[in-house]
Amino acid sequence: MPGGADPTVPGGLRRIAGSAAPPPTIAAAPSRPCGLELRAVSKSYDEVQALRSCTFSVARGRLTGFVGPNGAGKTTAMRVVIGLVHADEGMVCWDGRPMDEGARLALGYMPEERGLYPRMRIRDQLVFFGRLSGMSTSAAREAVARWLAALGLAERATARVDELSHGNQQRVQLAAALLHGPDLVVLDEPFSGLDPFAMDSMSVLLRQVARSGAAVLFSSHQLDVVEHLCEDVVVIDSGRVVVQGPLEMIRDASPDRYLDVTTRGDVGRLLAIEQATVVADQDGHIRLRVPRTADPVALLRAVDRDVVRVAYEPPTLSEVFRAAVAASREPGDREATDDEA
Amino acid sequence: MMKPDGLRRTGVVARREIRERGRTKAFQISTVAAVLAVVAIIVLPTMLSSGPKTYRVGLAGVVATGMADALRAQAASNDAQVSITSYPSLPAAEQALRGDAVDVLLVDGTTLEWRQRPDAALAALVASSARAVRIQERAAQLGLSAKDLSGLLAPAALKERRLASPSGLGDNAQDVGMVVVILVFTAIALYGNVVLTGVAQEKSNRVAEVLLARIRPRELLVGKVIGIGALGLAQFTLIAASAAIALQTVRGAQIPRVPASVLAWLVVWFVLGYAFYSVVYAGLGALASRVEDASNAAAPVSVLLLAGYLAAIAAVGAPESTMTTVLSFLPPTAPFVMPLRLTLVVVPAWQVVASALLTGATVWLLLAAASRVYTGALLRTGARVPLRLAWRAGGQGA
Repeated sequence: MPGGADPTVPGGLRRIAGSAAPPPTIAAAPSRPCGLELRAVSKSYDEVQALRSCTFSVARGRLTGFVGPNGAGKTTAMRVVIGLVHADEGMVCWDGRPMDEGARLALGYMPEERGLYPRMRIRDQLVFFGRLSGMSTSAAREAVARWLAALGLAERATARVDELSHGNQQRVQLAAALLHGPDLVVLDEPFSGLDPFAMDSMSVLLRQVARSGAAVLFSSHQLDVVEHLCEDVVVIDSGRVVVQGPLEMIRDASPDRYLDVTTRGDVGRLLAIEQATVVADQDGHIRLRVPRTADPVALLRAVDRDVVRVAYEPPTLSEVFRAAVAASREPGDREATDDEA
Repeated sequence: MMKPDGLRRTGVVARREIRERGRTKAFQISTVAAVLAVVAIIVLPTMLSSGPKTYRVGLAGVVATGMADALRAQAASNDAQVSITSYPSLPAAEQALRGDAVDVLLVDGTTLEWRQRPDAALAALVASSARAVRIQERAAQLGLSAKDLSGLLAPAALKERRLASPSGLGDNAQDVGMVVVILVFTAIALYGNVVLTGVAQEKSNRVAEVLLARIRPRELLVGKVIGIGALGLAQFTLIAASAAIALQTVRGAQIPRVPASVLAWLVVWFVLGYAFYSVVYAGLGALASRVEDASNAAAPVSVLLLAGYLAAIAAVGAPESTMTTVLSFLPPTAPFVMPLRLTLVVVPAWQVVASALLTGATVWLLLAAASRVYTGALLRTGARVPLRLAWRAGGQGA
């Protein structure tokens, strides 16, 4: 892998000088040269256009969430990066250069359909994957021991994969992807099917991987998880990237703001606010969408004395996502017509 | 060609196949069972047969002098023994025959009486004894001494010389040839199918995608084929060696000595034939989405394999025909027919080498084609992937 971690260092999630503590304000995506970039990547299968001129980037040292409806093209985009699918047009770059086969074979990948040899012992299996990724046997053994210990599976090292619970199989799958300390990590739905505790430990792990300087791209349908975890997001719909960049900036840039009120009192005045759209109204919990231009102080006047909680905030990722997808599907939308050109 | 990194990955895959498959109970049990079965088939018949057969002959009525001696002499020259009982009367003799005290009754030196069905070997033995006695009687009438008689009856010794000198296997050459064909066919069919199901398994349990993210399809395919082939060759050698040792122990000098060069070529042709068929099996195995579908997907090549085998069996009877020579050059049949020719006739060295190179080159081309199909089909799950689609997709992929 170009500029990659020494593959003989087990779990060598290498710290890149200067990237360990990302600056609090992030510049726009295109000005970050380090990491993964997709440039105008298109791919079609027979009649179906899976990717339409997709351009986005995944920075080193940061977690990038990849979200979109089912069939939006997430898996295809990831497979293009891995090299399992060949793009019809466009290119994939790593650290500013076209990604070569060596870089592809060295990255860490966890497919959506988990795949392990069911009858092989966990330890042997992980050593095998480590060896395939270029580690020496001793380095692979050492890394596997550390990963199994970290994942709480040390005493099951000689168990077969099909003897493990679903969550533990998922842990082994993740270890297989990260064992060799890749600089680029691509995970397709790493959180699917995990219980809340497993999700927490998976989140901690992914943060560590990113902190150590790797570029991490993962897809998920759980937008709350992505919002909670990621610095950057890429939203894709019908094979087209509709929004991408640092999550905070995207939220801030939205023309909408939300007023979130929980009250025991009368909600009549809240519901009567001009320019506001009621998003939720349930058991004294009101969520209103208002234009960013509305005066927050004026809005607060509608809140009565029995208020329990008030919040004024930009849209959540889920709301950004819905708005972006809805906008991209409007028939007269400029980008949609551009795309066919 | 593979780069050093690729070779290393191929080796990692091959070692995994050997280790994981060698460790399964199924493999260990089937190996032990096969060795025991082969040894049993060879050793048991000898252990169960209790030495030379003993015929029980009853004599009644007029008995020529020297009849008993003649019977014993004839039996001895047939590796058998004979016990003779003389009965004073025909009823007593027939009573003994009915009561299973004797196998056959010779009455008046002219009639054979059986309980039920005649025993051809025993009938011949008694008949030739009777003839010997008759000759002795007539010789005595003519005044010939025993010495004159044996001189008179001594057969003319014929020397043998063969124009076509086969590979030094003697009269058993055809048997050896047949065994060679059966061995090569069994080994290829057996381990080719292990490759087929192995590939289909990796596809159905989705390991394939994890593997292909870190290894080229060709490296994966070659590693798999080599690993399973090495394990298969070891297993087969073990079984064959057990059979050879058992044969040597039981039958001693009777087994034909197969020259070392023929054995070496046998291994070479197994490797070539296995490579030819298993590479195709690997490509077609990737078309199936479930292990159960794999043999359907591979049906065309299984038919080809069987046809090659049958052609070789047919060639056993005509090892020097033009057809056999042609078949020994065609890559699908050469792995059977060429070792067969080597066993039966003297094959010019250039033919063996040229045929091996041709098959090797074909394997190389098939490897490229199979890798392409493999790439195009491995990530398409659901229904069975049509070959043409896999070929097209594989051309664009990775």
